[in-house]
Order: sequence, then structure tokens, then C-alpha cells
Amino acid sequence: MPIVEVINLRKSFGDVAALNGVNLTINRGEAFCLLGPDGAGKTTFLRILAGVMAANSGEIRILDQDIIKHPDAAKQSIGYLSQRFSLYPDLTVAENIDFYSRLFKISRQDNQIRKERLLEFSRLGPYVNRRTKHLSGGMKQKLALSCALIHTPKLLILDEPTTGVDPISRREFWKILYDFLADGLTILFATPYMDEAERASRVALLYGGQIINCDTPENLKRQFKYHLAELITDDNRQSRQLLQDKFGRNNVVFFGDKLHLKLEDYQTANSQIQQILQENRVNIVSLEQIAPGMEDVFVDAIA
Amino acid sequence: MRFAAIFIKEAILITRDKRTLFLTVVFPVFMLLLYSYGVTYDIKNTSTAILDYSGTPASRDLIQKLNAAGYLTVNYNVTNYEEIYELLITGRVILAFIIPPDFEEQINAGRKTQIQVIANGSDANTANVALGYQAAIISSYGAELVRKNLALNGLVQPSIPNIQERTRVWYNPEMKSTFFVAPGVMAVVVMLLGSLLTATSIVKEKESGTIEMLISTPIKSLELIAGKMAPYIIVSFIDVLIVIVVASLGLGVPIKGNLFLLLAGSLLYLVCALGIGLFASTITTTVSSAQVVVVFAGLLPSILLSGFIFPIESMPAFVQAITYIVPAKYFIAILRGIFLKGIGLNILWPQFLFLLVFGLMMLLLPASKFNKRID
Amino acid sequence: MPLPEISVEVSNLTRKFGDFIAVDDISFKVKRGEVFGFLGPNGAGKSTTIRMLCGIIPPTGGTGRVGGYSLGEENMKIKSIIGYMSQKFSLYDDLTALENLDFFSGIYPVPRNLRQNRIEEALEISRLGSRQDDITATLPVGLKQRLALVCSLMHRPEVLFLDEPTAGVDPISRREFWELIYRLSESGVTVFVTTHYMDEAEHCDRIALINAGKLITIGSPKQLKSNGQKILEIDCSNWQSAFEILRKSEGVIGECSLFGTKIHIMPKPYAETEIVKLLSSAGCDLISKREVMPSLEDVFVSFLSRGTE
Repeated sequence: MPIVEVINLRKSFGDVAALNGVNLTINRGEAFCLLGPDGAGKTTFLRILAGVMAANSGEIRILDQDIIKHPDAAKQSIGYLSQRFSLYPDLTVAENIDFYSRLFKISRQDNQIRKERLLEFSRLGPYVNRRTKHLSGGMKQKLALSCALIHTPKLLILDEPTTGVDPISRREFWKILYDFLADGLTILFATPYMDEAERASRVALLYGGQIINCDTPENLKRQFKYHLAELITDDNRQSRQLLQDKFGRNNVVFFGDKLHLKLEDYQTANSQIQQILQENRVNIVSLEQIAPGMEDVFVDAIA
Repeated sequence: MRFAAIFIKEAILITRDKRTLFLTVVFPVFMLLLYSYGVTYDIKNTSTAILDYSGTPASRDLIQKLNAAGYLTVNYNVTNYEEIYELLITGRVILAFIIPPDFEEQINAGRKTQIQVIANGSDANTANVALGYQAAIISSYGAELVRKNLALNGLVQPSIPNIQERTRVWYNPEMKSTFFVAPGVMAVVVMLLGSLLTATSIVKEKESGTIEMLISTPIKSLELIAGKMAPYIIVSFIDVLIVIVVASLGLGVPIKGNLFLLLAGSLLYLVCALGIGLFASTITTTVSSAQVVVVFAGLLPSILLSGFIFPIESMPAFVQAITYIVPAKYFIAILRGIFLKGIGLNILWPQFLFLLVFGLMMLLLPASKFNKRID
Repeated sequence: MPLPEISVEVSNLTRKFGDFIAVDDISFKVKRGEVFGFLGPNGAGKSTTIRMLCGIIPPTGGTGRVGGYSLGEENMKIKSIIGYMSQKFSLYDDLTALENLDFFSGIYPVPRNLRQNRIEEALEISRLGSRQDDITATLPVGLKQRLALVCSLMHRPEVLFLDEPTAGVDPISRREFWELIYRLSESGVTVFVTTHYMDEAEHCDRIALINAGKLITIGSPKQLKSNGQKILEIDCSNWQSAFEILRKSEGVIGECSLFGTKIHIMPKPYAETEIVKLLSSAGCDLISKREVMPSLEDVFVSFLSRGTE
């Protein structure tokens, strides 16, 4: 039995259709990633599933409960971290956790045990009596995650949970999640970080109010129709300028300090690239064909 | 347990919020003392100027009588009209008297004479009261002159019908402002705390985004609202007790009626205040706009339209109509009734009924609107 | 005055708040037209440094010059030649895009006769197009970013400070945003960026890493990566279990992290043999094992984990 089943979900805000017939299934233990450009409706979708916003029509079943008819039915088993999540700045770390614990009717003993475990994972132990407003961004995020997990939910919904968080905290955040995934938690998350999408069990691309593609990262990459070349030179900006003229503006893009070129055929393009760059005295450090990553897949799907 | 969760959290936050604590404890006492001692409707030592064209024993006698009672104080003896103008326009006097040059001659001849009285209308309240006093003083002086005159002419026993006014002031014999003011202060304070703090606390959750997390839990709307209000009910009620104690023990306001009835009335009024706060929180999304709504819907009416400061009877008809939906008006009536008149439910039941109905309406209507959704 | 070759320089820049040293003896130089990245954990002192460079707060020690003007003494002049854009707020949500542009051209101020032109240019660069009369709050995030950027450029500043400009923005919009940054850099504007996106840090000409108020290291992305410790990249089947197993032995083999579905290890001496053993015991087939240059994220993490918790 899937954890989440969504059939033909629709939601409009006035005249604007944010979700236009979304269909989706999520199975137990999956780390399910929702990708999409800004304004695609990811937050709307996650809010509806978390029971925080009402849908216009469609069917949603979470843990076999009809969420449309009974929005509160599955809430005891769902954890939710909103995009604009907020904790109470004047409460301490411990008080925040206790608060959520009571909201979910966790007994004192259970609370004690789980709290300790979560504090250990998130390395917030030494800050137990510090007020939230004196925590750094990364620590707040981990605390929010702990609050969302205190009732050991079966499904965790995360809306861009690691935005604006430094890389170390981001790694720690995901380490906590991996432990819970190993214990059987199902995660549904939206993220702007492509590397997080790479590690998902399955990725759904939300665009124009609908899911335009949904599969494992490997399969999505296999569907990538083009050849992808990775080029490193002495002068990336100039290289890009030159190669865009030849291959098209959208097909030559920056990737960190490298360039990715989307090509019909690598073999023919290879010599062309080398020729253009040599003519303009740009030194090639490396040029090779690579497998596409999630970002390439994403950009290709949306463009 | 979920109710307890919200309640405990609110309680912790209240105790850590210095501003709220200050508001709760210091403010009501401060207001009570301020209004009782600082602000008074009794007129004393009203600044007065005299332009005495006469300069005779008769005029000096009159001036001395004006000064004697303590309500008016002759601060300026001027010699010309320009000075009077100057004193009035700079607000240094409230009243000015001009005694004509032939004052003594006219009186001794048994003829009518007039004294001009000019009042500074820019402070109408004070001027009004002062005019009242001076009229009383002058007419009593006039009556005395008549008697003297008649006696001089041999009529010792005047057969002039004499209407003596005997005034007894019931309920507040010394007409002390304090007694008048304390109930009003209570009404304002309870409204302030009950509505402002409740509205702020609910809307802050909307503003900061914590409400989204709350809604995603199984908590029911009722548990959320009740949990949020409960601490403020307790805080406001403590304040009611503080004000009652300070007013009765500290300022000497008597409690002639039933104390429990008083507390019951306070509770009902508190419910109304909470209702207004809840209402404000359902129609606004930022704390500042919630505060504006509370001030206009709750606080200002309780000060201006409740009979606290300005008598309702003097207001134009359409404004008087509005006062019928101001809870503070009924509460003040209850307070004054129990404090000063010692009456009970048999007379005050309409006021209690209004508060009950208003309170329930204000609580239940928004609560039903408070569906747990973001939209 | 001709534009100086060194656009921003600070020497021993320090800022204390009471006893707390927020910025501790920082020195660096930024050339005109450079894209300079400012990295570091939250609370490391980045915002304080930027506030000093923007002339908002004075330094408590050290000196600095922005666009040739001295910090702390010529703050008003500094403010006239810099632009500032922050992710969290730069625009008035209740105004339309065009109204925002009008507003910013009014307050900087832009000479009246130039305003119309600049606004039109801004609309073109940001590709707002038909949405110029939409209420800003209704614009998608990527578009808002570009709008905020062009607003901060209305007065043609010499130095632009960007505070986490693309947080939460999707990759496509992020690319378009960086296009604009490059064009600015080419036209001579110096761009200061703080970001948590390591791949964006790669776009910078040079990066400074700040932690606990101190400048930890500075250099081009290439320099930082080649000077950093080499990373062992493991590609294997069943990366989840592999990662589990390897993580548990971090004390022996070195810190492990995920890079996509590959595992990056900062190997301790003799770690390789141990790793191969662990993987086979977990039943994971090793697809490839190679030494790679650390990513900027690895560099960042390794610098920051030294000497901290």
C-alpha cells in the first residue's frame, strides 16, 4: 500500500491554476524529491498534503486516509517543515521540543527518550537551555527538524529545508534524515539543490501545474536525449561566448567553473569545439563527454 | 494535553516578555493613581482676574467673597481692558470680572448694577464649572445685600420668600472624582489587556509563520484558541483583583454591593474583551494592523463612549445610539452600581445580559470562521 | 576622478561589539571588476564586514577604502558609489515592478533626465517585459531577484554587494542571474557576493573564507581546490548502505560525505585498504575509486572542521 496517493489534484488561486491535475504515488521508505521552477506550485502541493491548505478538487490518500474529506485524519503520522518555518524565539531548545511533544500527545517517558536521541543526532545537546533566537541558522534548522520528528511520523514533508543553510549544517541535516530513512521513514521534499535531487529515490518534475515526468534519477538521466560535454579552459567566459555563437545560447552553460555543452553528437562537436577555441587562443584544460546530472535533466525539461 | 501544550507555551512566553509583564502589573495601578489623584473634575484655585473700576469698600468686599471659597483665586488685579485681553489669550486666567465704576453708588442707592464676567472658553469644561461657582457666589452676595438693605430700612424680618436649596448628593457625597473614575479605569484596563494581548499573540503566529506548523498538527481550532486565551484570562483577572484592591483599600472606594457579583461581572466583561481580540485576529495578518483594530473597536470606545469621562447624555443622538453596543458602558454601570450604590442582580440584570450575549457572540462567530487553513 | 584599480581594500579591519570581536583583523584587496565571493558560516562576521564596507557601521580598528574613499571617514561618499541587494528584502511587495524602479531611481538619486532611460534599460535587462505592472509580491522568485538587482543598479554603482542573492531560486533562474553578474563585472563593476551555494562560489574570481571573525583563506576557486587535500571519490552500487558503513568508521578512514550519489572521503593515511574492506563486507560492488580535486564544498568543510566541534 503506498504511503501517499494523489489523483487529479487541482488548486487555483483566483484565476491562476497552481495545480492542474497532479497525479502522484509515493511508497514506503522513499526519499521522494519534488523539483520545479520557482512558482511551479511545489509549496502549494506540499501544503495541501500537510493539511494546511484546502484543495479545490481531486483525491488524496495518505496512509490510507482520505485527506480531502478528513484533513486532520493523518496529521498524527505526518511531520511538516514549512518553507518559512519558525520556532518560538523566546523558548529554549528543550521547551520547543516539549511543546511539539505535547501537541502530539507524546507521553513524558517517550518524550524523554526521543528528545535525547534527537538532540544527540543534531548535536544540540549542549544548547538545550539556550533560547532559539540565539541559535545560528543551521542549528535552528536542525531544531525544527527535531520538532517535526518527535512524534515519529511515518511521512515527513519538507519544503526546501536546507535553503540558506551553510554546507556543514546541510550535511548534518541530511545525515539525520538518512538515519531515519533507514528506520523506515518516508520523505517528501522540495529542494533547489540538485545534489539533493541526485540522491532521491524518485524525482517528480512539477511544471505548469502538472507532473511532467516522474522516475528514478537514473532513468531520468537515461531519457536525456543529447550528448553532454564538459569543458574546462583558461577563460570560461570567453569560451562560452565563442561556443554559444556556434551551438546556441541555451546549449552552453556554466557549471561551477566548467562549461556544459548540450550537443547532438559529441564526436562531430569535439573537433569543432577544439577548432574554435584554438583559433581564439583559448587553452583547453580538459574536454570530455560526461553523463548528464540532475541539473542538466532539469534544465532540459523546463527549457 | 494539546490545550496544555499551547497554554504552557503562552505562559512561558508571557513571563519572559518584559513588556507584557509591565503592562499587566504596573499599568493598571499607574492609571488608577493617575486618574484619581492627578486628574480631577473638581475645580480648585481657578485663576481669575479682576478689573475694578470702582475701587470702593463694596467692590473690595465682593472680591474678597469671590476669593474666599477656594474655588476661585484672584491672581491678577488689573487696571485696564488690554491686560484682561492679554491674560485671557495667554490662558493665565479662566475668568475675568469687570466691576463698573459706579458699583458702590448703585448698590447703596438700591439700584440694579451689573458686573461683567468674561470666561476663557477654550477650556470649556473648567470655564463652565467656574461660571457655575461664580454665579452662586455673586447671587448669594446679591441676596445678602438685599437683606442688609432691608434691615437698614427697618425691615428686620424680611418677608421675602426664601427658597433654600438643600442639596444632598447620594452615592458619592463628597463627589470625589476617584469614586467616579475607578470603575472607568477598570473597564479600560481589562479591555486593553484582554483584547490587545490576545489579538497580538494570535496574529504574531500568523506573521512569523509558526501558525503553519501548528495547523499541520492534529490540534483542533478550539484547543488552540482556548489555550491561547487562558493565560490572558488569568492575567486579566489578576489585574481586576489588583485594581479592586488598590481602589478600595488604597483609595477608599467603598464596595457597597456583592463582591462575587462584581467578579462575575468582571469575568463577563473580560470575555467580551477577549472576543474583540479574537475578532481582530481573524481579520488581520500583521500585528500592527491587529492592534489598530483593537484600539478602534475596543479601547477607544471604552474610553470615549462608555461614560467613563464624557457623559453619554450630553452626546448627540446618533452617537448615543452607538454607545448601546459598547460593552464598557454596561460594565461601568455594573461597577458603579456595585461599588457605590450597592445594588444587585435584580436591577443590573440587563447589563449582565448584554455582556453575556455580546461575549458569546464575539467568541463564537470568529471561532467558527477560524478554520484551520492558509489561503 | 578616474576609477581606482583596486576597488576595495581593507587592512587589519576589526569590529568589536563590547567584548565580542565580530571581525578580527581582516585584510584583503579586490580589483575593479572582480567577482569576489565571501563564504562562511552564519554568524562568522560576513554581514558585519559588509556593513562596514557599505559605510553603515564604522570599524573599531584598521582601515579600509571603497572606491578610493576611506571607511569610517567618508561614509557618505561610499554610500553614493555602492549598491546593495539582499535576498530577504529589497523591494516593496505592495508596489508594482515599475513603481519599485521609479522609487529606487528617486532615492539614490538618479538625475532626472536620465531616469527614463535607466528604467527602460532595467526593464530590458531584467526581462520583466509584460509583468512590469504586476504587483511585486505576485512575481516569481527568480524574476524578483533580477528586479531587485536592477533596482540596486539604478545609480550605476562602482561596487555592488549581494547578500545571498539566489537563496531558494531554481537553477535556471540562478543561471540567468549570474549572466547579469558577469555582464556587470565585464563593464567594470566590482561584485561582492555572499552565498551558501558552492557552485555559485565557483563562479567567483576569488573567494574569501571567513570563520569566527577571522579570514581563514583567500584565493581563486582553482587555487583553493588544488591546495586542498585530495578527495577519494567512491562510486559503488547501493550507495546508501555503503555510506552507512563508511560513516560509522569515519574515525578510521576520514570524514565522509555524499556528492550526488558518489561518496567523497577526506582520507586519513592508509584509509584506502580499510575502505575496500568495509565496502566488500557491506556487499557493495566498487564501480570506481579515484582521487579527485576537492570541490569547493569539501574545501569549505575541511577548513571549518579544523579546530571546531
